[in-house]
Amino acid sequence: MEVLTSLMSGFAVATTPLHLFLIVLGCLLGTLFGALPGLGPINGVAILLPICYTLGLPVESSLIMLAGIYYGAEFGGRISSILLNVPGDAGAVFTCLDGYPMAQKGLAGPALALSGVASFIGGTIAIVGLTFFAPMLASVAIFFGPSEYFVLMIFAFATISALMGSNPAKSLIGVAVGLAVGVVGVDSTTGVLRFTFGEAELFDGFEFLIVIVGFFAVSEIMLMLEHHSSADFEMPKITRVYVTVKELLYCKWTMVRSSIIGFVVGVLPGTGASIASAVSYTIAQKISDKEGTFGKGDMRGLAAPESANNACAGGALIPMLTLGVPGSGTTAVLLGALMLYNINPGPMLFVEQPLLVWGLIASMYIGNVALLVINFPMVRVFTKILQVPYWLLVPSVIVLAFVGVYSVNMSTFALLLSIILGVLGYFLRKLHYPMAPVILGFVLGRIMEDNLRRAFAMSGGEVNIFFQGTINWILWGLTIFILFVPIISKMVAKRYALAK
Amino acid sequence: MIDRAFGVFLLCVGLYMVYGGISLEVPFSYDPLGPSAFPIGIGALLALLSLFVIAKPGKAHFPDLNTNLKTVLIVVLLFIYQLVFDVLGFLLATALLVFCISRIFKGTTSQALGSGVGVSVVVYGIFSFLLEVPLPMGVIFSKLLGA
Amino acid sequence: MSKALRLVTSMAAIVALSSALNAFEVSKPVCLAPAKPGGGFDLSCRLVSNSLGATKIIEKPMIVNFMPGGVGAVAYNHVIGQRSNDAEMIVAASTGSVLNIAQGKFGANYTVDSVKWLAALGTDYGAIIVKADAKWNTLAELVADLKANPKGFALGSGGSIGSQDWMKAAIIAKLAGINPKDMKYVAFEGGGEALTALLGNHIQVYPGDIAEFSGQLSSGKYKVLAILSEERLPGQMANIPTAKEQGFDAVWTIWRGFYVGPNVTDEQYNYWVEKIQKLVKTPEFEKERELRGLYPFTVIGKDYQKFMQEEEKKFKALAQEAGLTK
Repeated sequence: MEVLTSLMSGFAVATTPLHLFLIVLGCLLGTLFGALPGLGPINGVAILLPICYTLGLPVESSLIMLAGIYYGAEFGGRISSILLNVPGDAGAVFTCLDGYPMAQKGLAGPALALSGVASFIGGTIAIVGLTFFAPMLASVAIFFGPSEYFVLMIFAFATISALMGSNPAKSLIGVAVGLAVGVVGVDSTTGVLRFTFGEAELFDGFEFLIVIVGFFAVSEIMLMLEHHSSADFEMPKITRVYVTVKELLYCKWTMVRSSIIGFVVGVLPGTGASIASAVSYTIAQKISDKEGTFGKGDMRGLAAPESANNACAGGALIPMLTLGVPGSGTTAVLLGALMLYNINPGPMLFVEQPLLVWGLIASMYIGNVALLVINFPMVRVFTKILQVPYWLLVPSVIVLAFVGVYSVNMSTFALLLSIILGVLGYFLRKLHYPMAPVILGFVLGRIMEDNLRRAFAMSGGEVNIFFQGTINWILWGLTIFILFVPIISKMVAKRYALAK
Repeated sequence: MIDRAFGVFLLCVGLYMVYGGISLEVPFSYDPLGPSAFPIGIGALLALLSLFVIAKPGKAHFPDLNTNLKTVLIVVLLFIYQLVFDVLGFLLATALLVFCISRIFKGTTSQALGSGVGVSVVVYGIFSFLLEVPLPMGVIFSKLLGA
Repeated sequence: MSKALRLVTSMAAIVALSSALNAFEVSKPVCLAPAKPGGGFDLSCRLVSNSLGATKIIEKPMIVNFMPGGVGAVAYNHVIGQRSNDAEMIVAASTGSVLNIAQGKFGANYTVDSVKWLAALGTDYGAIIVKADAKWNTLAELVADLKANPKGFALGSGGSIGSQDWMKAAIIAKLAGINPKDMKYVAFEGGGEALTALLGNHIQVYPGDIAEFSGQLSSGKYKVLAILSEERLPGQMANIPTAKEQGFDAVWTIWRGFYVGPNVTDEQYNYWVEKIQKLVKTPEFEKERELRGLYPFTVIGKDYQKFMQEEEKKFKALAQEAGLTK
């Protein structure tokens, strides 16, 4: 097997003492960046890239370490989601939905351990996929043009129907609010500025980070004040710090399915961990939520987004390594790292820089195991965060979140924006508007609009472009399927009951 | 009541988006929708849906006056923080912010002082020296060092 | 007047005098890249900081800071508004920056004269790229096809209407004698996405930048119909014809330059001009520039300021012609 020989040569590169050290360091730093609200994989890689370069590290060493930060951050993002209900990064928004309720029930330990395993499984499935199917998947990804992306977004929106909950009007308003926030900024087709009020810093629209810090960190602090002030306030208890085999087996299919979804979403350029975790969560809910336990601390609802966002990180490397185009925001910065070292990435990277590419892939096998090994004993340490008194915890969270926001483009205007969004988020949450649709609207809206209009520009306004080609039809089929899953499963259950 | 008021707010935002979408000046566009279609559509959707909430508002549970005032105070503090961030510099502004929030969350004066100094110094150290993210020194500190 | 006060004032006078005698010297030189690390502006900054470091023309190491946003709009506003007299800092810019300034996108009241332009140190050139199995083999065939059937195929690249990337598509349209409004143009988020769309045959022509594209050249998946430079480029581009030699007057340079704040004194400005004049003559600089894939393009000091005013005028006319501004 040619692939295995290449992989072995990669392991030879990745297992030098320096590289083993950098893998572990990258994973540790990544976990930290992921865990801190306001700092995610993009800032992590962006902050460390100039440092690696200035230190004079060779390109493969830099890349191995920066990649470690990338998937390490996806691993670490879950921690503050579960413990504080403040997502550590973009991919961890959906981890809050069931992770935080678990922590409130005193199951913070199992939640952290379970999500660690889920992350590991997601990461590993993605690396295996990257090793064996990279060129093939890249050639499929090419067939995704604007019309396919648009139908894909329709599919993603269809999965939201799972999140509708008790008040559909408020859920839909949530989507609209998310879409509205996403509209701000320069229109990528005509260059017209929309709702920027003459502020240069709004040209690129709202950074995802600002939205997360506003909607989750700032508003969460305002809500914390209320819990904290109420008379029956009590610190959540920690029961155990491990996860049982039975619990893992309970989630096994959710983890495998979500890993595959996350990986596939990652392979598609222009998407990212937030979409991967959102879609896998909503699909898991559609398929598995028979008793209505999702959102109340269901383990499968925790395992789904965590498998997906880690799998997405591996998938996103495929277009980067095989086509020389970024598969996500973070891989765009990783590509920049190559450019900085005067390597012009393109389809020939595998041929021209085999040791670099295979060294990177091999390092990810090691990194994933390292993350699992590092994270298990740390669960006990992490849960200690819950015992930090609020007078220290709350200001620390807000300062770290603000430094992250400030570091994006060294501006206090970004801080102002996140405060405004924080107040908006506070009211939305107090008035029982679900936040998941808001985030989905924000993430998906822009991609949907851009691709709809690109497709129209290509077809000259004809609608039939969305019904051409096999991929479009498959996506329409999936959309209809996901809309009718609850009805179908009810029918199947009825028939089953009748047969009995 | 607050639910209804917030519904009215959302209605206004929706209407404003429709207005903003219509009044965009578009030289030309390669697609029939152009940049106005989405803002108009989203705004209309938002306005329409908010009517449901205005017609049938839910019950909202806001805490007692004291807590509400504290919540407002936090927002005001954060707002002042971003205003004085560049002038006072990261260290001073952060120490003050942390002290105040710490007090609000029932820290004693000494606990709040400790957190203020500790958090600002540790975070400044990590970001400025280890990660080379330039945080503002502030007018006062740079004058002191410059002289 | 008290003794102490007199002492203080005389000391202040001495300090002022001695600093006037000592010519300006940077203490903490910074290159501000108005983009994320690894982006094009980062590469410009590294070109200067690495070659300055290698030649020791400026003793203190130059560090690179980042301020992404609006293709440089955030940095432009920041420099003019808050750091207008910061002589320690140079800021990277490129063709796209002036294009945006000309269209008022960096701020309605700002022109190129809102800052002081220091130097352009290299350039990339536009290139017309199609898939390897495309039916056109020369620029003439493509242009003729576009003329015959303006909506027959789609051009696409990584920028919106009025951007640097769109301009290259508009140039092809003008060569074919059609209004840029009448071509089929698809705007993507960055050149990478556009290139993928070309590979998937969602678009048929990608007007890109040749140095940026060089990593893709040897893959055999694409053809470059023409490079938009005055003369043939050396090295691996040597057998790609220019548009000019194919009979089309189309040149598009994507130069990389730098500016400083508007209130930097003449003395400080001249300091930088002098250092850069020294720098561009060194072999270390030439080596760094070639490593970044950039081609020679050196305009320094007052000449550069004049060049920028001309660029602005040219782009204003172009934008007006295309119906982008009034």
